[in-house]
Amino acid sequence: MKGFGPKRYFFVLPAIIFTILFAIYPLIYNVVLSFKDVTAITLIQKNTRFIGLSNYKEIFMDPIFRRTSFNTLMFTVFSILFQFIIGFLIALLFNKNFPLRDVMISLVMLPWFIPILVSGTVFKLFFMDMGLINRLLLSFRLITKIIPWITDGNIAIYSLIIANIWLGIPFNFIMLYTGLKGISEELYEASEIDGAIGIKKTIYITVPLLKPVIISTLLLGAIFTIKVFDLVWIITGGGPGNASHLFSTYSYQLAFGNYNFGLGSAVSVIMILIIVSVTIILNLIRIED
Amino acid sequence: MKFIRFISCLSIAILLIFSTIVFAQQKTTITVQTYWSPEQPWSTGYVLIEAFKQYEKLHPDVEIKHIYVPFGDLVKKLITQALTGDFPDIVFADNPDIQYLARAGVFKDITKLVQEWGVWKDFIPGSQLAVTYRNKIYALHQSTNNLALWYNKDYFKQVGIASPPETWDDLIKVCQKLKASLPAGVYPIGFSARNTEEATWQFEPFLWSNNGSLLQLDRAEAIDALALWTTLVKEGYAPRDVLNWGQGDLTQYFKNKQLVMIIQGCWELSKLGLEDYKNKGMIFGTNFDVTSIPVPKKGMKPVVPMGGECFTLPAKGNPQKEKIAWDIIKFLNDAKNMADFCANTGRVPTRISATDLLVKERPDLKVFAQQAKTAVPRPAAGAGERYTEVSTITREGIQKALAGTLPPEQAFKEAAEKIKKLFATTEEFNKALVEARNALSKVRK
Repeated sequence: MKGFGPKRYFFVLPAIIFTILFAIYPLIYNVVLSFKDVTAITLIQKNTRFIGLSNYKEIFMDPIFRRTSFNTLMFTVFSILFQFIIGFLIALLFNKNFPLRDVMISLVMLPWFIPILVSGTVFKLFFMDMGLINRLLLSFRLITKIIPWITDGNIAIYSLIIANIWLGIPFNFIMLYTGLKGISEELYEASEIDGAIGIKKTIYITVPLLKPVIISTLLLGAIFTIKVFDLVWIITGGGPGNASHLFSTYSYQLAFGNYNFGLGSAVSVIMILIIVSVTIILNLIRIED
Repeated sequence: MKFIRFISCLSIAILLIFSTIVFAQQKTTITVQTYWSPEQPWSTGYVLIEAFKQYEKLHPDVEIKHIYVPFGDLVKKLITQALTGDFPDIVFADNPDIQYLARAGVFKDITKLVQEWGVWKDFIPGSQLAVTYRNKIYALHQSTNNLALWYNKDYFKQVGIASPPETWDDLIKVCQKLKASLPAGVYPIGFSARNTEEATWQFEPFLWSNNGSLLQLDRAEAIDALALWTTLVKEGYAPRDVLNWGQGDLTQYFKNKQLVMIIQGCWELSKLGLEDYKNKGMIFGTNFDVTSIPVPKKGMKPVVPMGGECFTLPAKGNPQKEKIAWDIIKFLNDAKNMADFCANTGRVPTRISATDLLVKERPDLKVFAQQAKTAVPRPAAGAGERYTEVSTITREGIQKALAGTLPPEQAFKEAAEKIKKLFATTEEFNKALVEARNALSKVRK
């Protein structure tokens, strides 16, 4: 580094400019908007004014926002939990050698290759009252009455979670699978000599060695899940009766449906704060190791 | 040295001559921004481009360039353009957005231009209301559309129903009869109650025909209309899936013969649309037909919301091009051109003189053309520039009732309270209420 002097900063300039322009400026602008009275009208007439915490107060008084917070929490926790467990189990399975393994891997990755617009629409057709799932269950006499998967305010969010789990498995699988590949076979052999058999190998060798990968997977998974938008928008549009909104869709509806950019920004700022705090917490855990 | 001077003088002269020729031949380019994609032959955008071509033929010095913006992005785009002042020469918006955008200052006040043209009185009352904000005209409503009841004649014959339902009681009876004899998987009726404007738009004919108002959802007229929809879903006449169906889905299920009746708009009766029905074995008039949406009681008139888009000049336009742009807008709103456009795209004219021309050519659009005369622009009957918020709250109530979360009375009581809270003072609310009543009575006359 010596000898470069202040010139060396010149080389990081493009990266700094890029970050300021495309990450920091919009973020700050978003935060500023959330403290202002911004609608399409005030924006164009250039008479937006600061209204302090009014937007946040209004949001926290809003019953739809409370429901949305609950939904986002359920959506994130259950999605990540099941995506991770299923992805992990599949990764463990594929870590064994068996014929046609590579073909099967590409099949597992399939949900990732399909545009969400397509898979979302298919899920909508599956979940309908007169959709495939209900018809199958009825014909096998597993149910006697139709299950309102996406037409009941209390059930809709869980149906969305099911759809999202399916979408998220490939990501969890591929992360953990590559992690597993990095663990040396010798370690398992050595442990076998020490008497580790079956599940013990997974608990005492695989999981501890995989910890950094696990945390990265959970971290990225959390970020991806909290900001899911298209899936909900396609299947329920946040309905019925605004009972299946997530932060992302509700923020969009406020900002671009009602043209109330101030309220929409307030919701997205809350969403960003949550994502940032989750990131910090998970990073702290990683650093401790 | 002399030679160089000579050469440079000569080249400047040549350049000047050429540029004069080029400038003399250069056409004035007018840009028009809409959400109608012209890709598919005989789609609405395609028909619009055809009209532009006709104009270009009459005015060889003008070139019209169409800019396509996706439906969901148009208002966003207009707001951005208003912020930067960089507008296309002719702007376009859906009629319920006009008042809001006019208040925001996106459009030019064209009152004087319209008065000079002298055909304002020929526009139907609903269209006049839709483009007027605080007594000033901000756009011209180039075509309209509205909703009617579509029914599958084959199913009606099969079950022994002679004529389509005219009243709400009829509707329930017809549904009962159909349900009793239809195979599983076929539903008597479908409508759209998805969490978008579609839900409010499809509900309004029921609300307004019953003398209800969006600003008084806790009144019996409104609750009864919602109770009717709730009954249709509760009794299984309509699947609960209406909660997630857009209007496009209705068409699909109607064509698949899974729905006997649907609430649907005239845009489906475009040349392209009719062809598609034919391909699915459904011929208009033979296998299916349209009629007015049932009214609460015999003798009452159906009141439908007014659809359709408007063209106008932007707030900050190029003054030199403005004249030509206005001429193009007049050309689009010419009675004959309007009728042609509507005949090809399955829409209804907004000018009374054009309506007769259309009905002569397309008698199948008569129901819609007649309804258009008393159709209500949504913002005028629902708090003006606050309409989008009123609509959002209304459809939340509708969805809650249909999903069974709340009974209709409570769902709409909750919605009515929320709508009242949109207004800072009671006076402001009362003013909006009077405006809405006036709008409804103006078009009913």
